[in-house]
Amino acid sequence: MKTKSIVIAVMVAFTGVLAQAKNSDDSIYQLKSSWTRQDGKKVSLSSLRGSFVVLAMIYTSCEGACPLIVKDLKKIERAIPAERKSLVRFALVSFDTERDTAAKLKEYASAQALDPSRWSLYRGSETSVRELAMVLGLKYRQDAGGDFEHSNQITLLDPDGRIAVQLSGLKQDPAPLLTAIRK
Amino acid sequence: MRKWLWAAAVFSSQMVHVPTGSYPSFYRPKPKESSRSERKTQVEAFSIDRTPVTRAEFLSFVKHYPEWRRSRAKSLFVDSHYLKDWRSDLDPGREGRASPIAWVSWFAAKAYCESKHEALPSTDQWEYVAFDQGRSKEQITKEALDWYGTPQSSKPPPAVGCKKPNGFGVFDLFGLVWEWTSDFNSAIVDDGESNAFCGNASVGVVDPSDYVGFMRRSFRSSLKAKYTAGSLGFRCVKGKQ
Repeated sequence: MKTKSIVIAVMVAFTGVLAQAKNSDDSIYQLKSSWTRQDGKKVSLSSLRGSFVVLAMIYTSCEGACPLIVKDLKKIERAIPAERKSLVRFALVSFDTERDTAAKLKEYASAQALDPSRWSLYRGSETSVRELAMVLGLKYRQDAGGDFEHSNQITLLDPDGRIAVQLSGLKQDPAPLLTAIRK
Repeated sequence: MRKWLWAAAVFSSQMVHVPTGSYPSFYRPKPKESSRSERKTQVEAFSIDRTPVTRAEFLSFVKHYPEWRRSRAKSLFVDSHYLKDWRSDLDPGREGRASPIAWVSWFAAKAYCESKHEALPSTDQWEYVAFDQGRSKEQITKEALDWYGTPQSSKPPPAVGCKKPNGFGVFDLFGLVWEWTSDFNSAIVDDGESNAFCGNASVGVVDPSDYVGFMRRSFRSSLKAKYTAGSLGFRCVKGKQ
């Protein structure tokens, strides 16, 4: 009797594992949203598949936290060992669907001296921006003056688009993120 | 036949028109914002479901959109409790077909509304409808408090549309389920100085005595988009987001 229930328990547990495995897909590249890059090209986020992606959400007219996020990202870029650099891309996604046009993003990229071979900036519809924030677990709201209050967050996506590491807050120690890239 | 049934289900969940208006702002404007925006949040006209989406309606949806069946929905979009009170993929059980659907994630709710060329209400739209132009304000607060304070049962909530509608003709904003909003993740910004909750208490909000408003915001802020819960459903809107 005891053996029987153990067998059943194991079977149930195993079926559970199988059922979970079937649905287990945490890649954010499942999102079907379409984005415009700073060069004006229409792309999906899955165009980043295959690289480690260091991703943050900002807006270019932001005077508070965003320049600090970009500064943190640049620091990460410098800290990546030379032989791993080609495996990593940097992505900035704008909250500001109205003001941040592709041209504006391009201007921002050059003002910030972001290497275009490694950095991409994206704009999308309000729905796409909201949905991306949802999968990243990031909070934001636009105030009546048009500015955005937002969580400060840096996400590392693995080459399949799964969230590997998230740093919350400014000036966080990037060590966990760098370790993940070195693996 | 199936197509017809689907159309009938869609027809039965009629929407009501909500005119342009405003409701008292929850957050206080920052000094640099224009004084015009103070204390009132403007909302443009839209239509909203009279009642929360029911289990029967959600069943029609998953029949037509297999990717949202319990066994197929992907882990990026739903947690492991998705539709957990259903017997199987296409069997919500005999009871409670007219009860609000629960155990659905924000992604599933959004997909449902989009399948009808509709959307989830924004938090402003939902709050505007719930404020009901200040009609029976005390009654609303009391109802909300009574319900928020009632422990949840494990059974599906009662059927939709049985109680009195509010002044807009909208049913069940309180008393059955909490509801997803398209931008529920705008509730709190957790590391800014203008935080309405922790740290500087109620400095950023207009009416610190709006206790039920606080409860809704803090409930929303505790959610993640793939979460599901037995007391969390949704309804859809049409019109400007």
